[in-house]
Amino acid sequence: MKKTKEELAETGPVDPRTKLLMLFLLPTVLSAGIPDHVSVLLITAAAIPVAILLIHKAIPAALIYAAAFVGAYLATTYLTPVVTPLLRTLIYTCSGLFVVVLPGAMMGYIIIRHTKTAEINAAMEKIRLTPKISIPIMVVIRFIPTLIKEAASINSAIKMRGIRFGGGKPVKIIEYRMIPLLMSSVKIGDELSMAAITRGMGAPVRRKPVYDISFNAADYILMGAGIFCVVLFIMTKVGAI
Amino acid sequence: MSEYVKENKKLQPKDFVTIGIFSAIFIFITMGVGMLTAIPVFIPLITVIIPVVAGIPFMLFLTKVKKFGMVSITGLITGILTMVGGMGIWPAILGISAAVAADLILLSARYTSKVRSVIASGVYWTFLIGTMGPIIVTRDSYYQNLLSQGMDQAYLDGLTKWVPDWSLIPLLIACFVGGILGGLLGLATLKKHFEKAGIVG
Repeated sequence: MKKTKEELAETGPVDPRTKLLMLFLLPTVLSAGIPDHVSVLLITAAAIPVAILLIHKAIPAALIYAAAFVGAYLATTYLTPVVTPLLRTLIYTCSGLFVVVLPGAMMGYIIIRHTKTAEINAAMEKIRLTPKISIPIMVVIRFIPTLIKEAASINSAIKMRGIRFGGGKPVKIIEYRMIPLLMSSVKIGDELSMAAITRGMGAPVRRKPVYDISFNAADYILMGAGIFCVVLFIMTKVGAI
Repeated sequence: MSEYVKENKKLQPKDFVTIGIFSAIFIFITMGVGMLTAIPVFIPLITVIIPVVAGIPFMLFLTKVKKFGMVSITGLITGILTMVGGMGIWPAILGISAAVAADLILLSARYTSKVRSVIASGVYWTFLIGTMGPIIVTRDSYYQNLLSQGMDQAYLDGLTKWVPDWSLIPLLIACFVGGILGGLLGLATLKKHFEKAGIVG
């Protein structure tokens, strides 16, 4: 029996498709380098993750991110021209890169923290992405936080045993970290594929997502901001501004 | 029965999960080692460091690859996600082509030859040359961008010193050799650790 709209689970307030689009769009428009006088592009791009975080009611994250961005932006704009070259390099590596990389990184954070994997799956099914690509992408999104946690606990175990720099054998630095990490990764991978098969991944039928996803007003405004960024980006590229 | 055989040749969900797990590991290593590039002298060196560090997981990954497409999709996923990570479009394009080439080398031995998997490791990691693409091929506009973002001239001088125009081919060879070294290291480690533990059989 076909489920009616009311029976489907509610998604978050922002369509996961919008988030995925922004995840690709923001780094692309920002990575190519932006002349100083097009700071409106930089600020619009930075405002998109803030807006999404605010819609998700993640107020602390939004505030920290906004403060970090404003600080880095002010430092690059007003501090770099007036300080000594050495200090300038330091400020650049800390804040200049920050300004360009942060919006994309924040989108990654939003996808990992504020979006359920099933929602992303529903979004990727809706844009008809082949499972060959969507399943690995979902595993990567789901697995990278686990990987960081595993690496951190292996690191502290190594520290405890006092073999942090290979215990007098520097060649072993890689081996001591990599082997346990791979052992646990392989195990987690096996468990994940069991879970995937249980949920009917790879079955010869088209899966129906639990989540009903649709665009609403917030999505259209975010999309508008995204299109504005792309237009500015193209105009910068052809030299119109 | 025939339907079962046909299904088995295709990639299974387990294979997709394996691709995802190892893509995550490769991205983790690339990003971690990539942080060294804040110092210009490390920029040419990452072409060797990354393949050597990633050699062990790569060879472990190859023991799980038995069908065409797995290495190619890994290249596609890592390429796309490094592009999202802000490294530009070059690694994405090269990632796919190098991975398909590596996949074809493996296919030519039906995924059983150890020698060819070491060669495939060398071919796969040549995609790292893509991160050098903007520096060497479009040097002028790349420098212009960095300057307009407030980058210091000293860093650019360091970049010119350590990554000169003629270095594209030597760096490509360095990637390949790094991949081969990583592959050999990986094979030795697999023998030492994973065969005993029964993870590789």
